[in-house]
Amino acid sequence: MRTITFYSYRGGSGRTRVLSEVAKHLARGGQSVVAMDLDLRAPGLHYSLPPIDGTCAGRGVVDWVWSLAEADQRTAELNLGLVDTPGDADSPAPLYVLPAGDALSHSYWHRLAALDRHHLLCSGQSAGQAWTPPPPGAAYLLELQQRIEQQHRPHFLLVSSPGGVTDLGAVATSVLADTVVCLVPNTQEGLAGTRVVLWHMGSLRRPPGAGPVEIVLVLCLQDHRPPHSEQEAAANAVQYLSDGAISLAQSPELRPPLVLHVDPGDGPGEVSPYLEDCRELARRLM
Amino acid sequence: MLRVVAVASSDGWAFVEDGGRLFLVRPPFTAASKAEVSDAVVARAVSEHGFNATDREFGSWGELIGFLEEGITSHAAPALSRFERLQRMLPHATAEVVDLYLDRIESELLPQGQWRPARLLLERLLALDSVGVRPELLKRIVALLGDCTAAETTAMDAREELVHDPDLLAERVPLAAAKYGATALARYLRGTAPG
Repeated sequence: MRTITFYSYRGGSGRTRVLSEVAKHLARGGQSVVAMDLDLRAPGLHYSLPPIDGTCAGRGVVDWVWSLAEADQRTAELNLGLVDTPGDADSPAPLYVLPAGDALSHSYWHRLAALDRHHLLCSGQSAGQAWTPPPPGAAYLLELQQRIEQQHRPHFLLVSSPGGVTDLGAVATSVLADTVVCLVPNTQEGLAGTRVVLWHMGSLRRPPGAGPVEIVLVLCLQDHRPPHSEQEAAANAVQYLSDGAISLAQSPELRPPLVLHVDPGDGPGEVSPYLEDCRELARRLM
Repeated sequence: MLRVVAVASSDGWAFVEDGGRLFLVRPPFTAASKAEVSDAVVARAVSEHGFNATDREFGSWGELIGFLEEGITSHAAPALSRFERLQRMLPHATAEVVDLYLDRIESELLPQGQWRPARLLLERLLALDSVGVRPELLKRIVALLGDCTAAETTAMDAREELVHDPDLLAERVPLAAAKYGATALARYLRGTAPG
């Protein structure tokens, strides 16, 4: 199982939509997928990938971690939702969604608050530590990752990370991920924020024995304006994101980005450049 | 244009003329709480039920409902926070009332993990005269304060406990411990170098 985390520094970059399109392309291509929502404070992946049975109740990351950490239910059931993948594939591989939980329910926020109270999802450095450790709750998320692999044996686990700079985002990108798909809006603020996050990722320790995280840049051209060509914009972005780190260890290894064109929405017509780009991203990830 | 023809300000109920038809509107001001009525109903509301006849015009339902809500608020007693109300009432609490408070602390606050509010309330109860003369109440409050302390300590220790005891880690997260090694994983989560 390969774990790919989808990250964007700012909200509204289309992270969830891209993850969903990639997940569907992978499934249609015969690759089984589990899509997991770790954006626990702004969950929404289940809207893009709705389970066929239509419910998130009692089924989510928060419920599962809470059961393990707070209710001490070591054998908490992992109940993934099967997602429909309409398309021209004859026999698509299964695509499952693991939502954050039923965010419309009181119990969701109650359980998330319980995890917060025990500081399970926030890290902190104290004397004697060689590096800032991940939050202790990372142990439960690593367990969840292993449980998904053992129970469903998917080819891919796609993780929707919270944006910004957060402890949970650090777990999603630096602890769980083999690969991070980093969506970068082609704006000064988008690039600057992403650069800081890439430095931060470079300084975080990986779990024992885990290799370095591969970073796949996706340059979002929603705000792209001439005079630069797409190639120039891509080259400038890589140059900017690679420069400026104080520590060499923080300097990310970046390859030329995949360019993602404007999302035209769900209108009728031919396959849009946007969907072609998502398909290309899925191909690269395969 | 909307015209309020009669109103009971303190309740937020009003009769409104809209396009030549009369409607009764009332909180919570949803579509379902608006009903068409006749002239006779309005007349009876004014003559028998204490509605005040008026003639105020509004450009929109939003403005009109804002006016009605303002009326309700201005007639309501000054709003006090739950805690302020509690503070005012506490000194007068009898032993029986204190007992009820303790029941609620035990059955609501503590199971919800609201240890800090529970502790604050318990400390205030402890200072009451009615408690000082009832040893059984005193004993119960002290026991509940002990529960708060234990729960708070457990909460703070939860993260430490998990990452300092490889055996516990292996028990709690067996699959992750098997993949990374319980000791190595504990060290990683503690942020300490191996060796």
